[in-house]
Amino acid sequence: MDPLVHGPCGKRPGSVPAGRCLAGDSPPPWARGNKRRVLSAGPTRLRERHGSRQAGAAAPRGLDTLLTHAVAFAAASVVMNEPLHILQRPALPAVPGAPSVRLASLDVLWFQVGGTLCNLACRHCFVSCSPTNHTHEMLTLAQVRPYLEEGARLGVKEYYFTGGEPFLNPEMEAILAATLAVGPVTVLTNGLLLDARRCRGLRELSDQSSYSLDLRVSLDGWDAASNDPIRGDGTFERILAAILALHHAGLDPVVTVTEVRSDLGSDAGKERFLDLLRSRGIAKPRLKVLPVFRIGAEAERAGAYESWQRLRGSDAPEGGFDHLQCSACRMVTDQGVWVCPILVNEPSARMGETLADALGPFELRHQACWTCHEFGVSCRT
Amino acid sequence: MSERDLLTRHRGRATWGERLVPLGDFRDAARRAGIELPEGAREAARAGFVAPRVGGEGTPVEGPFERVVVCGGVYNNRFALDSLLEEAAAFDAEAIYCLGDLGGFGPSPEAVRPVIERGGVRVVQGNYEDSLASGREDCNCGYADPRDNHFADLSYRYTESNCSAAFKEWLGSHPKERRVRVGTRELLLAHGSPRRINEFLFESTTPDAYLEVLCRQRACDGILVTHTGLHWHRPLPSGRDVVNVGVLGRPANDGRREVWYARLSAVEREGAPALEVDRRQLAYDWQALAAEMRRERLPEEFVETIETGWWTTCLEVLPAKERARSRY
Repeated sequence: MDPLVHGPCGKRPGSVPAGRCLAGDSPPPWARGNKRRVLSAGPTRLRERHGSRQAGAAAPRGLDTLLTHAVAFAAASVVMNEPLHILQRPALPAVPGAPSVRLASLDVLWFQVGGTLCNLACRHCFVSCSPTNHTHEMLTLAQVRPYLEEGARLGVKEYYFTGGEPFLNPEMEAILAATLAVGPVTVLTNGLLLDARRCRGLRELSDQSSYSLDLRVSLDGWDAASNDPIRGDGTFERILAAILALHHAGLDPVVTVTEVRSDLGSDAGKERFLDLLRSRGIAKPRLKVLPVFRIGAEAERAGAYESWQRLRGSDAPEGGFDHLQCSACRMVTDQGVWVCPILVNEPSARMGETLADALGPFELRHQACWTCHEFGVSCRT
Repeated sequence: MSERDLLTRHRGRATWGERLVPLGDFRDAARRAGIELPEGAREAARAGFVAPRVGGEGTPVEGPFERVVVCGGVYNNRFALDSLLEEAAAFDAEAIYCLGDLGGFGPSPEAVRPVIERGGVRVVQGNYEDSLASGREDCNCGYADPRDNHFADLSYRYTESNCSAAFKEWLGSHPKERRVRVGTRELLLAHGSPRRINEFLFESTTPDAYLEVLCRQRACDGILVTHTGLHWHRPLPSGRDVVNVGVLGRPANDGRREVWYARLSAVEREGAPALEVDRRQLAYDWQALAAEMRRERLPEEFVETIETGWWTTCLEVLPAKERARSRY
């Protein structure tokens, strides 16, 4: 047992208040060796298997990667005037033998409600959102409604809103009210537009519904020095102010950390985030850590996937790929229905116009699919 | 890349993977991808997706009964189970059901078996029975947060190391779902949900429309589940009922030491047969339970929950509304 993590008697420090440790006790036999890690095991597993890689370091590349470079150069005529460093790979690699995943049930319906428009331009954003990225436009309430109706008929259990920044959308509160009438909602936000007045409004929306309204606020470091280089100058304090505004409105958000550095998601790293939130007066801190997806802006920041990092048919566990979130979700953008929240910048991940068009299987040929499989990623809270 | 470049680089362009391309190129490629079914085919696709599921047709329908008692999650709490048998007798229940998770959290796992057998309790397998009987290394509770899993793991290790092979075999001998007729209603009994043994059905994250689809897919007039530890009842627009009966093993995170179960009765309402669902608080000898947990050196956090009625562990799985109501 790691005393740093679990404390001298096996209690995880700070994980519950008022927990007591029987001084001088050694753990009973059934409690020894309790080191199993679940969510946090993913990134560690990768590093253990394949060695660590420094952020920004050039990745060793094999022959097939060199070939894809050649293809990328051939394709460069359509993207004139772009620097070469973003022309690393063709966008639609053919993957013979790539496995497929069925849609077992439609538990989660996502909306790219902020489009790819964001008031930040975070350097790890796998969708490369920014104030000028119109790849996907914001959704209107009128666009959202038919999907809510279709989703209810298909047995959707939870609704998620993301972007871009959802609260840039001028109809966001109206969209939330319409959705909370039919089911629980989670909003993924950077928090910068959430002042006290807006948080009180969100609390009212929550109180008017019997379903949960959950907010996830992104934070990528314990201090300005670690967060701001990723999310932008001055964002650390502004994000914490938003978290506190939500807290004071009675809507404790789930603070979501992307593991841009390996120490952020370690047990000690998580504890440091929880301590930070407690030190600001949040008694019941909530935390979720996600691995990085090496696509979009993150590929430029820290390097793209290695050529071997993709799924093959032989990777399929017994029972298929039902553990992947794409076996139970779809994503709606202003341009139709996509397989999942990760791949909205890959045209081949668009499945159709309506949910009915998108109920079929999906071929797992994108390298980001490997991350979901390897780390057991769920974008759900 | 400078901050300004980051903020302005997409003007007139779309992000296609790591490339920047003219906006029109991306949208044309996206339009060409996927399928666009004719409207008739869309209707058929939707109907097929939520069509009744094949399987489970051989499950015998027990009853019909007029009065039944249903509990969930015993979590080794034979003291509460004892009290339940007394209340069931007073209610004149014709059958007592337990929706699984006999083990975990509390002390002395095998001590629940004589109580279950004495009361003739009909058990549905929970994830604990499934894991212990199949030799899994974890409880398969379905938690995603490491803090939740830490305590779930301690709990499972204790129960697992205090179960004999014969007891595990007995746990695995129970069915994973049952069908019970109460009055005119045919009810489906499962642990987490009818589709997954460890699915969490919390009140604030389980929409009516989803439950209607589940009931239609499984051709039943109502569903009874447990697993979350929190009790609720939802009369659906179609007239069906879904009930989370709560658990006997620990209080409902409400600051009270009592635990919860449900009584179901066939009644008449406005001249028509109906189902009455009565969720009940159950008092039991919690001091005896807490004392035995300490003797067994179970985590003090668990004992605190028994003594105060507030959960101290496995809190991260709670949705916003349920978490806001909890002390920790």
